[in-house]
Amino acid sequence: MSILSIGVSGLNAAQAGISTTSHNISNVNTPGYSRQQTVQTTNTPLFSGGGYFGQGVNVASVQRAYDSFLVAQTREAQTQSTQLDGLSAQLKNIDNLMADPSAGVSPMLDNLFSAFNTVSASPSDPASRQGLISAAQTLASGFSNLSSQLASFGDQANASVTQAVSTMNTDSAQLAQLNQQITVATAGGQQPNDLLDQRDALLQDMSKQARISVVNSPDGSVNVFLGNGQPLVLGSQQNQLTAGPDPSDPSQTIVGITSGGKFQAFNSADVTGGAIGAAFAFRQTLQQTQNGLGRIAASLAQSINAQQEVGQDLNGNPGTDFFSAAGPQVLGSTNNTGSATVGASVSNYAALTASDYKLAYDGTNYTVTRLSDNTQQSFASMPQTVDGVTISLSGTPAAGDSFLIEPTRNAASTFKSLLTDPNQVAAAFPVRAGSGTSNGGTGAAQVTAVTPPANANVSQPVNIVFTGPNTFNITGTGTGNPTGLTYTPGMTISYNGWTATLSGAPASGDSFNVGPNTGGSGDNSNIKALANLQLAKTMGGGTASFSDAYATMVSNVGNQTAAAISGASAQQTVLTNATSAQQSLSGVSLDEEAANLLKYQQAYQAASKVISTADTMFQSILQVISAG
Amino acid sequence: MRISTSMIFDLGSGSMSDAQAALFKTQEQMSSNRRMLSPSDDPAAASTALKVSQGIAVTKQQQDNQSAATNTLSQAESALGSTSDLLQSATQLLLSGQNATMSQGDRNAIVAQLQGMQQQLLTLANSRDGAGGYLFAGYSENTQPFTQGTGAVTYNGDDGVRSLEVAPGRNMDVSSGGADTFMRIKNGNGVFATGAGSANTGGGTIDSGSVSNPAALTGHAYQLNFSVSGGNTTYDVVDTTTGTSVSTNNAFTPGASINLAGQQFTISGAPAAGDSFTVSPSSNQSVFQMLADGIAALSNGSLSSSVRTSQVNAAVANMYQAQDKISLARAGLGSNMNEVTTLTSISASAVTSQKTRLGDLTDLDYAAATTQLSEQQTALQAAQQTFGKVTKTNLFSYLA
Repeated sequence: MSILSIGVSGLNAAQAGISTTSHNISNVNTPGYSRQQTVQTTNTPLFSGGGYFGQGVNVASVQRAYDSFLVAQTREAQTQSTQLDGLSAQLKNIDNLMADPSAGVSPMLDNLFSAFNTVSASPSDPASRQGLISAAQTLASGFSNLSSQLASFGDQANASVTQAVSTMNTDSAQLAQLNQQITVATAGGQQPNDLLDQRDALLQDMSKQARISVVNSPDGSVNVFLGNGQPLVLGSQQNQLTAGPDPSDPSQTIVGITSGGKFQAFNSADVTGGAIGAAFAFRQTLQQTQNGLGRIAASLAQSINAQQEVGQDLNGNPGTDFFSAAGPQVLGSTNNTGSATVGASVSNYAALTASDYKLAYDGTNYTVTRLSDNTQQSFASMPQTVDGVTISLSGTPAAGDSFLIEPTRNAASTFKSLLTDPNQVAAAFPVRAGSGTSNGGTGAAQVTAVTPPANANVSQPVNIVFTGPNTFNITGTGTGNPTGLTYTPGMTISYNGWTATLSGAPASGDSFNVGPNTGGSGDNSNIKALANLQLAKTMGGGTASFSDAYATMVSNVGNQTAAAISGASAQQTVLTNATSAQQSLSGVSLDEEAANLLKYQQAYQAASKVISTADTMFQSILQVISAG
Repeated sequence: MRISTSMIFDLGSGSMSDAQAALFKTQEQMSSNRRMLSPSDDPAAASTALKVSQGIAVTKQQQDNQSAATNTLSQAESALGSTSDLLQSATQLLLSGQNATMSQGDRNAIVAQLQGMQQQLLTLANSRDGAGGYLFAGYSENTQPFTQGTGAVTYNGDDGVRSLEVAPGRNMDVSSGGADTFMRIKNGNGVFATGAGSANTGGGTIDSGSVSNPAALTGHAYQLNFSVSGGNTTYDVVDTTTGTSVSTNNAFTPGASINLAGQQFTISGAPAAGDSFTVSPSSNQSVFQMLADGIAALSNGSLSSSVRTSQVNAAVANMYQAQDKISLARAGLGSNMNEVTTLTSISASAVTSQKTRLGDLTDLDYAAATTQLSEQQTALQAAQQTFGKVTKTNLFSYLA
C-alpha cells in the first residue's frame, strides 16, 4: 500500500518538475521572467520497530531564482543608462545641427563681413551694396532657422517629459493592482512568482522614465517613491503624476501632482534619471546654446548698429539700424504673491554671458543667481547691474517672490535685418578733412575714425590753423577752441566723436578743415570700420570676436555631446554587467531545462515503474489468494 | 558562471550592432571625406576649424582688396602717366614758341596745339574708374572734380583718401583727391618765382633761378628796379613785403648771377631804364593755370620779345614743377602697386597653408580609414560567425 503511494508521490513530484520546466521553456523570452524550480522535500517517515521508513516525496513550493539585490542593481543601472542614452541622443540633434562646416552661422558671418569688405572696395557701387543687404538677410534667416530648430528640440524635450509621465501613470496604476493581487496571493503562504516577476518588470519600466525608490512592505506589496520621497504607489493606492508648466518658466514642462485642481510642481533637481532626467539635463545644454547664439546675435546687432549709426549713407543721411534683436526677457514666477514687476536691459554687451539669472527676494535682500554656475550676489536695493544686464524693479515684491531673467534667450530667434534699400548702408563717415588751398607745407589731415555713440556735433566745421610749423589752434563748435597745441607728425586729435590724423610737415599759416562729408559717396571709412568688427574682440569682456564666441559654443556642444556619448556607452557596460549578473541567476537556460526535462522524465518513468512493481506485488498476492 | 539562453542572444546581437555601427560610421566618414562628422567627434578641432575657416575668409577678403587696389592704382597710374607725357610735350611746345625768330602766326599755330592739350589735360584729370567714379575726386567720386569756369579751372572734389586693408593691419591708400596733384603746385622753381614787369621796354629777360642758401631765405617778395644813366645800368632792390629798400645803385652785368636773400637768378640782355623784375615766394597754382599762363604769353602779340621770353621761362619752370608733382604721385602709386604684388603672393601662400591646416583638422586620412574599415569588417564577421556557432549548440538538438 505504502509503496504505491510512495510511487504516486514520486510521479506527482516528477510531473510538477516537468510542468515547471515546461513553464520555464515557454517563458524563455518573457521579459522579467525568473526561472522557477520546484522545491521537493521528503514526506514524514513512518516509524516501525525496524526504524523510520520513508514515505515518498512532496513538492513544498515552486520558487523563482531571484536576488533582490541584483534586481535593484539592474534597476539603478537602467535608470542611469536611459538618462544618458536619451541625453546623448538629444544632444546629437544639436551636435548635428552644428556639424556642417559650410552651412552654419560661421560661414554666414564670414559672408556678411566679406560683403562689407566688397562695399569698401567700391562704396558707391549699387551691386556690392545689394550684395551686403542680401548677406545680412541670409544671416538673419540663418539665425532664425537655427533658433527655430533649437526651439523644436525644446518642444521635443517637453513632449518626452509628458510621454514619460503618462507611461509612469499607466505603470503605477498596474502596479497598484498587482500589489493588491500579490497581497491576497501571499496570504496563503506561497509566493505568486509570476505576479512578482510582472511587478519587477513594471518597476524596471518605471525606472526607464525616472529614478524611483522601492520599499518592500511585510504584506508583500511594494511602495514606490519618486525623487525626493514623493509617493507614486502606496500598497494598492496610486498617486497620479502630472506634467505641467514650470512656475518660473511656463515654456518648460516639468513634473508635479495636481492637488485641489492646482498643479504643484516638484523641484526639478529632485527628479533625476530615466527619460525625464534626460530631458531635464538636455535642457541645460539647449538653453546654453540658445543663449549663446542669442548673445552673438545681440552683440552683433548692437556693434553693427552703433557703427552704422555714426556713419553716413549714400543719401547723405545718418545711418539707421542695420539689425534688430529682442532684448532680455523677464518671467515672474506664477507663485509670486507681491506686486513687483522686474525689467532688464543690456547696459554692457561685452559683459554679457550665455547664462540665465534668477532674482529672488527674501523680504530684506535681493539675491541674483547666475544659473550657469550658481554664483550669487546679494543686494539691499534695486536697480543693479549684473554681468552687463541692468535689472530694475518697480512695485513691491513679497518675500519668496522670484523672477527668471533671460538676457539673450530670444535674441537669435528675433534677429532681423532692417535695411532694404542699398543706399541706406552707411559706408561713409559724416565728416571729412581737407587742406587749405594755399597751404605751403606738405601737411595732410585725414579723419581716421568716427566712434559710437553718435555725436550731435560730428559734422560741425572745425578749423585747424598752424601758427608755426609746430603749433596749431583749433576752432569750431564743440572743440573748446584750444590754442597753442604742439604738433608732432602723425599725431591724432579727437573732437566731436571723430579722430583725425595730422601728418607731414605743415608750414606756418597752413590750415586744415574738418567738416560735413557732402557728396562723399566714394568714402569707405565707415564700411571699413564695420568690416573690422569681424575680428574685433567685442564679446566675453573683450576677449572674443563673434566667430570666437560661436566656435566656443560649438566646441561646448561638442564636448557635452561627446561626454554624454561616452557616459552612455560606459553606463551601457554597467547595465550589461548588471543584467548579465541578474540573468545569470534568473534567466532560463534551454540546455539546463532540456537536462531537467530528461531528469524529471526519467524520475517519472522510474516512479511509474515503482507503481507497476507495487501492482505486480499486489497481483502476486491476489493470485495466491485466488489459488488458495 | 551560469549562462542563460537570453544572455547568449543579447550578447550576440549587441556585439553585432556595435560592430555594424562602427562600420557605418567609417563608411560615412569615407563617403563624405570628413574626419569629424559632428563637433562631438573632436570638439577642439571643430572649434579650431571654424577659426581657420574664418582666417581663410579674411585672407580672401584681403585678396579681393588687393585686386581692387591694383585695379584702382593702375588706372590712376595710367592717367597720371598720360598727364606726364602731355605736360612734357606742352613744355617742348612752349620752349619752341619762345624762339624770337618766330612770327606771331607761327606762335598762333603752337597756341592752337597747346589749347588742344589744355582740353586733354582737363579730360585726363577727370578720368573715371571702371565703375564710373572719378579717379581724382577724393570721396566725392560722383562729382566731376575739375570744371572749366570763366578763366580758371575749379576743383569740386575733396581731400578724402580711400584706403583698403590689403594685408592684416595694412591700410593702403588707393585713391586720393586731385587737389594735391593738379591744384596745389608751387609755381616758379618751387621756392620762389621770378617775373618781368609787363611794361618793360628793354631786352632784359629773367630766368627761373635757384636757391643758393636755404638758411638766408626770408619768404619776402622783392622787386628789382633798373635805371640807366650814362651807359651804366644799375638797379635798386626793394623788399615789397615790408616796403623798404634793400640796396640801391647795384652795378648790373648782363648774364651774371644775382644773389638776393639766398636766392640766385640771372638777368640777361639789356634792361631799359624803368624796367623792373620781381622775385617772390612760390605760391600754389593749378597745372591748368600754369599752362594757361604759358599760352597767354605766346598768344599775346603785343608783348615785347623779352617780356614774352621771361613769361615763357616762368611758365616752363611752372610746368617742370607740375611734372615733378605728378611724378611724385606716380611714384607713390607705383610703390603701392609693387607692394600689392608682393602681398598677393604672400596671401596666396597664406591661403594655401591655411587650407592645408583646415584639411589636417577636418579631412579624413583615407589610408587609416581603409585599414579601420577592414578591421571593422573582420570584427563584424567574427561576431556573426560566433553567434551562428554558439546558438547552434543546443542540447535540444541532440534529443531525439
